[in-house]
Amino acid sequence: MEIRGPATYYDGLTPRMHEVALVLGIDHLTIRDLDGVLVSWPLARLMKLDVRRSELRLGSADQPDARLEIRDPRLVAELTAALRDLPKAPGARRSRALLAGGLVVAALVSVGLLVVFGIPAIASQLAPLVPISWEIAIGEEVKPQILDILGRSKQRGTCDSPAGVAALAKLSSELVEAADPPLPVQIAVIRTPVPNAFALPGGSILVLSGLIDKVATADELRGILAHELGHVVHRDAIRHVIETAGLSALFGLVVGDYSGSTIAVLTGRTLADAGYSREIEAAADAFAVTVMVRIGRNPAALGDALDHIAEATPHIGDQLTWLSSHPSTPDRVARLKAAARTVPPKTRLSEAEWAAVKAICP
Amino acid sequence: MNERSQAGLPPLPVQRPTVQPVPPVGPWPGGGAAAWGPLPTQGMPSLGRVAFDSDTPGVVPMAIWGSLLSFLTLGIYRFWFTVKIRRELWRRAALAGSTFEYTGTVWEIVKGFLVALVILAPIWALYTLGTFLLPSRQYAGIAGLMTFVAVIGFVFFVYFATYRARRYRVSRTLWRGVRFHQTGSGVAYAFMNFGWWLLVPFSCGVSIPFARAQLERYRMTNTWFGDKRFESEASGSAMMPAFLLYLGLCLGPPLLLAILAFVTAGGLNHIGDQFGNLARFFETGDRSRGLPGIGMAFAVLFLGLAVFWLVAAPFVCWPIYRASEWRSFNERMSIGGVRFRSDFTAWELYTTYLVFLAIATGLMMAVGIVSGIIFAIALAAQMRETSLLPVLLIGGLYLLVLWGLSVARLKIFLFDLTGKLVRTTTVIGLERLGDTLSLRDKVGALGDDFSGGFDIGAI
Repeated sequence: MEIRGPATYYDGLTPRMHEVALVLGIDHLTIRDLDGVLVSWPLARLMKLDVRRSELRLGSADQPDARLEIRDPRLVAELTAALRDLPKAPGARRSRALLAGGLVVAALVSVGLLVVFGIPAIASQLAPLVPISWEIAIGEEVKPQILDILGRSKQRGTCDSPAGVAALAKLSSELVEAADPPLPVQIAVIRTPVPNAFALPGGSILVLSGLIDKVATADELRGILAHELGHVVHRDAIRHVIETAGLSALFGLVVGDYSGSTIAVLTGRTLADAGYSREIEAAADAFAVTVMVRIGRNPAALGDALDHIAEATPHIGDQLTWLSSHPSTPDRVARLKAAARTVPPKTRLSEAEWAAVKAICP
Repeated sequence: MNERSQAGLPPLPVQRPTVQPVPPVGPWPGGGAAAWGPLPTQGMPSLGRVAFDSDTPGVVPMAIWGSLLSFLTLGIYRFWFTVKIRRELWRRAALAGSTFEYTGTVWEIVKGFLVALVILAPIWALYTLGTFLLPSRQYAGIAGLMTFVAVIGFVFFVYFATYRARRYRVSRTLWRGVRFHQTGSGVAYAFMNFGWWLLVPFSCGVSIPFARAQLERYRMTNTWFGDKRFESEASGSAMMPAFLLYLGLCLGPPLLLAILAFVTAGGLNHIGDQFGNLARFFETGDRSRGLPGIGMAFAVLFLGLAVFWLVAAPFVCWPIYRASEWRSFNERMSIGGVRFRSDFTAWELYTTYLVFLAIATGLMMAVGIVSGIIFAIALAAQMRETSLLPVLLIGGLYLLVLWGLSVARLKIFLFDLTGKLVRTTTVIGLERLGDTLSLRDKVGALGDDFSGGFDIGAI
C-alpha cells in the first residue's frame, strides 16, 4: 500500500521552497516534482521533527537539514498513523538519551560519594597542612566576633574572678600539658546561661558559664576541656572551614541553584554537616579519654557531664545547646563510661579551689 | 559571492549535497505577488509579519512538570527541560508561514556544562583560597589580590559565556532547511563589556546607549543566515533623546520634590529654627517657641517620595527606553537587503510585568492566608512548640509558591513576551534571501547553562 499527497520540500542547501508530491512506499519515502524524482529517503533513516501540532515535518539522517513539510490534514493523519514508530528528533534518539541518563545517574552517585567520603578525606588531609600562623590569624579575626555575639547583653562578658581564674589555670594546665597542642591554648569563661563550650580556630577555648553551673565535679569539667582540646589538636576549626568550602562548591557550583532546589541543597548541606560533626565529636571524645587517662583521671567523668547537661536541657529550645552541636548523647555517654578506669591523679584541686572555679562568674 | 571570504573569515564547510539541487518552484504561501523566482527579484519587495502561536495549549503543563522534575533531581533535569522549552518556543515562531526549528540536543548542553565547570573550578578555588586567607595579616595582600582576580575572572566568564551561548543557540536554529550561525569572539565580547563598564562612572552614564549600540552591532554583524551576514547600524547617538528622556524621568521628579520640600519647609533659616525648637522640646520639654508644623511634615513626605523615586525609577522607567531601543535596533538591522521593523511598545513590557506581579501577589496572599489558618489550628489544638507539622506544612507551601512562580515566569516572561516581540516584527523583502547558501557551525554549547539559558525573551 502506498500513501501519496502534496508537500513542501526544502533541500537543506538554500531556503527555496519546492512544491512536491510525496510517495510513501514499503521502505522508501520518495519526493518528486513535475520534472521527476528529487530524492528518495530510506524509511530506516527517517525522523519526525518539531513543528506545529497540525503539521508534520520529516527529515532524513542521510541529508542533514533537508526538510519535508506536510500540511494537508488527510495526509498528516495518514502519515502520522503509518510512521508511528519513527524517532521524534535527533535529540530524542534512544542511545543519546541513555547516555545522558547514565551520565545523570553517575553524576548523582559521584556527588553522593564526594559528600560522604571525598570532602571529609580532603579536609583531613589539608587541615594539617595549613600553617599554624594562618590559624592563629583567623582565630584573632573570629574571636572578637564570637565574643560580640555572646556578650550582647550588659550582664555578659568574660568572667574574671581572680581566685576562679587561678584555679581554672591550675586545673587546665595539666590537661594542656598532656594534650600537647600545636599552638598556645587560652581558656576563658563567658557569662551566658547556655551550657556549652567550644574551640575556636587559633587555640581559644570558650566555656560558657551555664556549663560551669551544670557540671558537678572538677573531673567533669576536665573531661569537657579535654574534649575541646581534642578539637584544638585535631585542628577541627580549620577542617570545618575546608569542609564548608567543599560543600558550597559542590552544591553551589555543580548541582546548580535551580528555583526550588535551593531548599533541597540546603537540606543536603545541613545533613552532610551534621554527619561530619558526629565523626569529629567522636574523635574528640576519644582524644579526651586518652588525655584523662594520661593525667590519671576518670574518663567517664565526661559522660557524667554530658548526662548533667542533658538533664538540664530536656528539649531543644530556641537557644544553642551542647546537644545541638554534639549529637546523639546517650551513645556517647555509654561509650565514655565503658572507658572508665581509676588511676591515681598527679595533682589535686582543693575544695576551695573547685569552689572558686564554680564561682568564677560572680 | 561568499560574504565570509569578503569579511576575511575562513569559509565554513558547505554541506555536501546528496541530491542535485533543483530550480526553485512555488511562491511564498500567501505571498501573492512575491514570487520566489530567480534573482534579481522582480516587482515590489514583500511585507511579512512574523507569527507566534500563543494559542495552542501545552506551555503551562510543560512548565509545571519541568519545574517539578528539575526540583526533584536537584536541577539535573534542567538540561532536558531547556531543550523541551526551546523546541516549543522555536516551533511556535513562524516566518512567512514556515516555523523555525531548534536542533540542539541534551547531550550537547551537558557537554557544554562540563567544559564550563572545568573553566570555573580554578576560578572558584582561587576565590575560596583568597577569602580563606584574607583574615591572616601575613597574607592579606596576596589573598586580596587572589579574591579580586577570581571575581574579575568570574565576571569575565559570564560575559564570555553569554556570547558563546548565543553562538550555540543561533547555530542550532533552522529555517526552511538553512541554519543561522554566529562568528566573532567571546573573549573580545567580554573585553568590550569590561571596557564599557569602566567608562560608565567617568561619563556619568552617558556612555550607556553607546555601549549598548556597539555591543548590538558586534552581535548582529557577527550573525549569519547561511552565507548571508546581518548588518547593523545600531547607533548610540540616535538613542540619545530616549536616553535623556529616561534620565529626566529618573532624576527630574526627585529634583522637583526636593525643591518643593525646601519651599514647604519655609527656606533654609526657617528649617534651622524649627530643628532648634524641636531639639529644645526634646531636651527641656519647652514648647513655647512652637514645634515644626504641617509644612515640615509635608517637606519630610516630599523628601521621602524623592528618595523612593530615585531608587525605583531606574527600574520602573527602563521599559520605556528598552522598547524604543528595540525598535531602533530593529530598524537599523538588515540582511542581504532584507529589512526589519518593530512596533513593540513599552506598554507591552509593562503589561507583562503587571500580569506577573499580580500572579505573584495572589500566590503570596493565598499562602499567607493558608499559613495563618494552619497556625491558628495549631494554636487551637495546643500543639507543642516543638511540633514539626506546622513548620513542614508551611515549608511545603513555600515550595508551592516557588513552583508557581517558576511556571508563571516561563509562561509570561518567556512565551508570552517572546510572542509579543515576534508578532510586532515586520520583515520587508524576504524574497531577497532566495539565493542564500547553507552553512553549518558545529560549535559546542559551552556557556549555555551558565548564562540564563532562556534569555531570548528576557529583555
